[in-house]
Amino acid sequence: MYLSQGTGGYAVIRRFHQKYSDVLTRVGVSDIDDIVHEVFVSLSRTDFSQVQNIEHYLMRAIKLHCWSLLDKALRHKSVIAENRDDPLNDDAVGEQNDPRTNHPDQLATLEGVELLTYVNLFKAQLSARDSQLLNLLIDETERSDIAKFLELNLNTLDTSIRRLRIRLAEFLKNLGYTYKSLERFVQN
Amino acid sequence: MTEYSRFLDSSGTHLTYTAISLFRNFNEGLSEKEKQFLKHHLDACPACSKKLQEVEEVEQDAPSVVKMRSHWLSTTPLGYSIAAVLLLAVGVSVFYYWNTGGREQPDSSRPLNQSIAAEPTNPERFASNPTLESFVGRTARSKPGVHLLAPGIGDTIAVPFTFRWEGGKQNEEYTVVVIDNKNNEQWRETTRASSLVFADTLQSGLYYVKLEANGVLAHVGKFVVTPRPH
Repeated sequence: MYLSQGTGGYAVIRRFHQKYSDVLTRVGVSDIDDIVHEVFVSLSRTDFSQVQNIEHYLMRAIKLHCWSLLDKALRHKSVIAENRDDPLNDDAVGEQNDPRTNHPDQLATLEGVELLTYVNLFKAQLSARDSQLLNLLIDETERSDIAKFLELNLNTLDTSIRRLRIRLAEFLKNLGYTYKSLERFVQN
Repeated sequence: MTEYSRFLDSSGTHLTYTAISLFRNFNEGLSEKEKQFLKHHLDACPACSKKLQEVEEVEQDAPSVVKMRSHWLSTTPLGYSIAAVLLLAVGVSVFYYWNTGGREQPDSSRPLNQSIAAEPTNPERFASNPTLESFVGRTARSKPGVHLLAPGIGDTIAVPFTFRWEGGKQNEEYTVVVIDNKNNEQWRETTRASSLVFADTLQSGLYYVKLEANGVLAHVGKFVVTPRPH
């Protein structure tokens, strides 16, 4: 409904397709319907129950997912180029399917920027209070200050933090982030 | 979240297009550290700053609402329901208008107690005539023209009806010619005044009216006569 022809969502995707179709082909997204499908799959992982203004959120999220596809395609392109330059790499073709599984020196930075995106998509699904709590944790605010700011006792705050972590872990798991290297970003 | 926070303290990483779009579209939800991380990098890195321009350029062309109303109306069950109710309302309005419209026309002087036989509607009589349509609304004379005040183009009229015009010279002779949509003349009358009362009977259908000044075509209008009430 939000991505069919004639909708604003479709217009955004068409604009992307017109401008970046040559790059997007590298990740198997050759025509506009493929992009619509990819964006739909990404959006379908969202829990809209807490989203305040769904239409406003969706338009921004559609743009974000389109850029995410472009980033994926560009990353893919650079991995292929690097593998071609490496004569000892016999698994070059196999690696093209998931650039994230190799290049450990790039993992931390890539994961950090990716996580920035997904943590903020996650925030959109939270209540205003939980979103505020998550931002305070990201800003490394002292527990006692958070408790004072949110007018909670420390036990309640710890429970809220634990629940929030579980929800975030679940959210990231649904996105396919199950490997250990990512977990270290969100623990503690 | 410690590792994530530490990552945000570093600024050596180039930003992805997604992160830049996040900075533009989800800025109000970012934490202070996240905002600083993105802003500092965009200020310091020409490559990422260029990326930001690209993102702005592409997103600028995108609409700000996710769905168009017309599409929503045609795709949701609620939309179908609203469309059905609107259609029903239009149908009832047309039925009501056809039954009462003649009496409610301000220009109509037909007596309400006039007994008129019911008349079947023939759709062919309402079809436009492409040749005459090309003249409708145009003032045919080169000098500042005489033009019809009533009926307005496409007005529905009831007989008797008063044709009115303005813009002519004194003592000019005006001829009003009513023709049907097949270009058959139905009525003709000449006057030196600026109005003429038409009191003949016309079948329901589309009609064109030609106004001539001193024998020269001055203006063409059109009007509709609706079926007579039962």
